[in-house]
Amino acid sequence: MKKKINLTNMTSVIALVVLCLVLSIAEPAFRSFGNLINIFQQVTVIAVIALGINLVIFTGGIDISVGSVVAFTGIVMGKIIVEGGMPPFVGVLAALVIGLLCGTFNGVMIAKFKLQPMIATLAMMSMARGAALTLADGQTITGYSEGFRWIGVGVIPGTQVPVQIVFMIIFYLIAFYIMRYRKFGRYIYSIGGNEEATRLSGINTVQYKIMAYAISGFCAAIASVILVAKLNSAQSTAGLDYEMDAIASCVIGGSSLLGGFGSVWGTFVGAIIMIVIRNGLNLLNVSSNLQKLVIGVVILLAVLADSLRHKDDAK
Amino acid sequence: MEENYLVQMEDITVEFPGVLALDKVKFNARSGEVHVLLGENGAGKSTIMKVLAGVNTNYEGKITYKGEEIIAKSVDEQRKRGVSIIFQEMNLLKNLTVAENIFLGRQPMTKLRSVDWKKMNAEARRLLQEIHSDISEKAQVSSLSVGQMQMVEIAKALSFDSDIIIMDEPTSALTEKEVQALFEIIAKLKKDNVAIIYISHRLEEIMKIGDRLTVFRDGKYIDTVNIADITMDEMVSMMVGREMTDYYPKVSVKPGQKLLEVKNAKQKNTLKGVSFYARGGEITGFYGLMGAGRTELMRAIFGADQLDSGEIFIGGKKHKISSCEQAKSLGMAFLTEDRKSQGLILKFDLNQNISLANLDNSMGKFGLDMDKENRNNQKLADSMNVKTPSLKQKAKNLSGGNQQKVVICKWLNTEADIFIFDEPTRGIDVGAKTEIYKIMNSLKEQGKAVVVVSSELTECMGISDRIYVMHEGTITGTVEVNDMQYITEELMVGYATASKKAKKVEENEKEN
Repeated sequence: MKKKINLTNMTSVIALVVLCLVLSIAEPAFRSFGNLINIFQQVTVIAVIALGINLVIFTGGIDISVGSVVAFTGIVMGKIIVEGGMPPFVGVLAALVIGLLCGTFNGVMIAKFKLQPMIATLAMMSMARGAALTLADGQTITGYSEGFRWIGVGVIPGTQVPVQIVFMIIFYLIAFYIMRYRKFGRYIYSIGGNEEATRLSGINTVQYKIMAYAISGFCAAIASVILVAKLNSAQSTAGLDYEMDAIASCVIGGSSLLGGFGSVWGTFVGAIIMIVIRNGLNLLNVSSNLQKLVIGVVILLAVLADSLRHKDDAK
Repeated sequence: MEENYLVQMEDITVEFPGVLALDKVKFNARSGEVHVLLGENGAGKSTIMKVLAGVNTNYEGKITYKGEEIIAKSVDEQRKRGVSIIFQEMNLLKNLTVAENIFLGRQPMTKLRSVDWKKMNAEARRLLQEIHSDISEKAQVSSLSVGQMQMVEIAKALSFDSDIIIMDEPTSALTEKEVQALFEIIAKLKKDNVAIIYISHRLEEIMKIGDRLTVFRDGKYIDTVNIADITMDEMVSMMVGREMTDYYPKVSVKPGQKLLEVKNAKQKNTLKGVSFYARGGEITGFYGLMGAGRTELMRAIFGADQLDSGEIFIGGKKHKISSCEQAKSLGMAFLTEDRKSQGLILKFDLNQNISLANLDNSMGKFGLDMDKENRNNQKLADSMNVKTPSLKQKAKNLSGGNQQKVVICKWLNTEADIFIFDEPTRGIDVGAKTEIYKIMNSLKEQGKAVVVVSSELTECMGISDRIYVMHEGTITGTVEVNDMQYITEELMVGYATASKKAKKVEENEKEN
């Protein structure tokens, strides 16, 4: 069985390599170092969101509210830093707390009140977006200090490596360690494997499920901080469709939507594949409308592969 | 063939992963008779009937039906041939009405190709009246009691105009009145020349309505006899086939302190004030019929469900148990009745399953240590004799008996003092059963309290030191260890069906 799982991980890596080879041949600009950095820069926001959603997917749930949470936390942060004139860390802290609260709210609704994850997070998706739109009142909040923007656009001194990539890699290392070597990780997978058996093994499944959703909201807030710092603006329309890209990253990376299976690194590879496809399509001058269609097909194929892979488990 | 059988099954073999469920067994039935199929759990009774009904199509052997050889390929086809089955486990759709369930997939249609509700309801009404049932045909199935659902299943089976009706433990959830109605139906079906294959554990019942009897044991054919020619005792010995003392190894340990005591446990509809205790160094048995409330009681003690009222004492101290997590931390272990959906994570490997309840045992300096985990688990798996090529094997690839051993390993991995086993040997082979009895005995020798829920009377009496018999949420009988030898199976069944007046057999007041 172990072999099979390794093979699954490898398929996404192989797919990525093939994709890169094809794009390198089709469009020489793809091969440049600058484009490589560019790809990594684009991947951070989605990769960080996917990290959080991944936990939820491991438990067998789903979180479609993250895109709206990105917008909501971004606006709050903008209001505090730019309009409130407070130090950036206060704004960042507020954004993280709100992200955590949104996620916790989802978690409580789903784990305690037994709402369907899709419905509960759909409600949050609407509530958070509504809050962002109301707060922003049509405005785009721009004008952040250099220090704050460093998070999004700074580079490691003496190199061309953007700090946001370093942040992302640190987050992934932490997540990898927790999911593989801490009890928390094992419990999260177990809940996705069989929630009732996990509960009857004396594990507080309610608490762990709430934590998974809380972390998902928290990761969305982190992604929001990076996004605002990168763009130098907070918009109420930010983060549209991000949940779709993040969920697709998880699935392409081998996470099962039935829960119980998937890896942190797989998701990382999945996120890169998503961005490479977009990047390649851009370089090939494919219109953004057509890009949507292509991405849709890719997601469909990934979900199909997932369902074939875990056919036996669905029984 | 000298005799003209309606159906004749020969050399039927069914293999499940790791278990030979049926080993070249034979079975036959005549029109207009009640043919009883008897055997312990796991003997293969339901399995062979699932072959005949076309549910289990993966079999070898020959089936002759109405004089010609057939292959049972699907339920639908067998039903058209005239074979219908009333399953042991309910197969009704709870969100539909009674009538909809009876005519599922073959609803009468109007000319406009929409469901003819009027006709369907009227037909359902007629069928229900035929079996003297006052259930409304328009009632939603979820609102019915288990017994009523069973009656709906029976009405459904009748609606097919079958030549053979298979009834798999039909009375296990019925009230006395409903049982009487069922017997009348059976008598009427016999007159209509229908063959009835009747699976049951209840010996009195078999004596009353059966014509012939076939006994299976551990997937093998034992014998077919006329019921008029044998006694109940003979039936039991045919079914069990060996001296109980050999089969159930007993160790003698002096009982210790009361580790678990429950007083006046109540839960809406299921428990009506249950009190009992379990001592260390002792196996406490719970016998009763399906729906007697034993599982509900155990689940509530372990915090899986909540009690409405009542007191639970662990090691003499009163606790209010509100979660499984808390129960585990108080030193309890709970082996659930349904290992597949509640005991195991089938798609995970054995390591992940065994460690789940106590990951602390697998922690190294920097978190989970997979090597340590594997070493620990291997020791446990070896001690339980789990048959698997490696602990990396997924749980779903193991046989039932080995799966159950894995669940036991999971709990042995914790530091529990109180082990609750709910139907630990259901549907597993004899070898694994014996090993599970051995582990219970060894827990008993270690001074732990073992509570066993079992619907298998011989098992319950063979393994337990003391037995509580439950019926409809109350304890109707208590059997102390010293009295065990005087207790007959009939008395136990009497308590369990509440046909015997609830009276306590000499309670041994001087505990320690």
